[in-house]
Formats: sequence, structure tokens, C-alpha cells
Amino acid sequence: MSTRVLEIRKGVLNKNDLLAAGLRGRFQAAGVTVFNLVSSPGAGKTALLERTLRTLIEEGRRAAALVGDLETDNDARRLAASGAPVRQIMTHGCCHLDANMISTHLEGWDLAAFDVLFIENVGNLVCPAGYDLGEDSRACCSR
Amino acid sequence: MHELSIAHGLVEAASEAAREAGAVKVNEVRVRIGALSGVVASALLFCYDIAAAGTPLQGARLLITELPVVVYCPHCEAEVELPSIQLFCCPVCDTPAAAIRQGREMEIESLEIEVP
Ligand SMILES: [Zn+2]
Ligand SMILES: [Zn+2]
Repeated sequence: MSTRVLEIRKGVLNKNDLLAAGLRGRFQAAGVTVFNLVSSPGAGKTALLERTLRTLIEEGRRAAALVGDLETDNDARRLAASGAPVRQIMTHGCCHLDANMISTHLEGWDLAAFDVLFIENVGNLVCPAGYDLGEDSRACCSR
Repeated sequence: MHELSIAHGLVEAASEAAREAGAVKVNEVRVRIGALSGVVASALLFCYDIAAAGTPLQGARLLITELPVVVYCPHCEAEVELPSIQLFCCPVCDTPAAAIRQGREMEIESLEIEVP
């Protein structure tokens, strides 16, 4: 038995970054523009998204949303009233979304059928900043 | 909660590296955490034991090096360390400085392992 030191120099979020790069490729291939909406808690992301989805659907644009929520599906139900396909990502207390959660919740969706996909992140400005979800842009909403 | 998922990512990445190197035991994990990474060292230490339980890292020491923010000051033409993450001004000449050279790190530096 011998002791060795292994130099690693690897980012802890390396795996998330790889998954996110894969997602970004899928989004581009499908021609869908993806926004990651972040804000502090209670800043009104859901209200903003509700209005945006309704307007886009009325204009005949194909919009969809993934909604991160700690425990409930209230937000998803509220957003689905716009007529857009909406899915809930229950984070069970986790304070951010990661690329793996996005990837599993996209299953069964034909991305090419959407023009725009919104990802509503968990209300928290600290750690969502560290997790790439493969989005085209990150939008920060404040009151 | 945030640190728990960071700790899981850390344990997963380190276990993979240890396995690839043929380690039978991991004695120590060294990580570098920047002041802007959003990770609190004490919370990470706390979550690490929970995340490591039942993995090849169980029982391995976690050593955290905390890195201060370093920015490039265009006036001094030098890299300077910031005393606080609240104020992005050069501590020497007070020039606003936003070019971050260090402080966002969240990385595994090395593992000390036992090999047959
Ligand atoms: Zn988090
Ligand atoms: Zn200066």
C-alpha cells in the first residue's frame, strides 16, 4: 500500500456544465430560444411569466415553460391557464435548478414544436447564478 | 441546502477520480472556494460528512482553502486583493475595478489516496 497525491483541478460543477452544454446543443438544433428567469424570492417572476406567456400565445407564438418550485405546483397551474405547455420541476427544498433537472423534465417534449422556452428558476439570487441550464439568456427580474 | 448539493457534486467528482486512479482509500480532499462562489465553508464542511457517507470518500478529511477576491486595477496596473466582496474598488488607489482575476473558484484541487 502506498500513499499518493492526485492533482485534480476540476470544478465542482463540472458535470453540470457538461450537461448544460449538451442541452444548449439540443436547444439550438431544435431552434428554440431559452430564457432562464432568476430573481430574489417574491419579486414577481410568476406574474411576469404569466403575462408574457399569455401575450405570446395570443400572438400565435409557440411558447412553453418549465417552472421550478420548492414544494407546490401552484405556479404551474396558474401559468398553464395561458394555454402554453407548462411543466413543474419540484425541487423539494433545493434552492436552485440544475441542468439534470431540466434534462429529465424535457422528456417527451418535442422541442422543435416551441419557439421560446422559459425556465422559471427558484426565487434566490445566490446559487442559480452558478448553474448553467443551457439557456440562451439569463433574465433577472426585480420589482 | 445549497451546500448540500455542492457537497454531493464534490463527493461524486472526487469518487470518480479516486476510482479511476485505482484508490482503495481516500485520506484527504482539498478544495478551493472563492469568496464569490456563494459557498460558505463552514456549511460545506457540515454537509460534506452527510454527502460522503456510504461513498469512497467516507472518512476522508475535507480541507478547504478560501480564496479572497483579486481584481486587476487599471490605475495601479496590478492585481490587487479586495478586503471585502461588497466594494469593488482598488484598496490602494480607490479606482473602481471590476476585472475579476480570482474569487469565483469552486474546485477540487487534489486528493490524497491509498493505492495497492
Ligand atoms: Zn442552491
Ligand atoms: Zn489601484
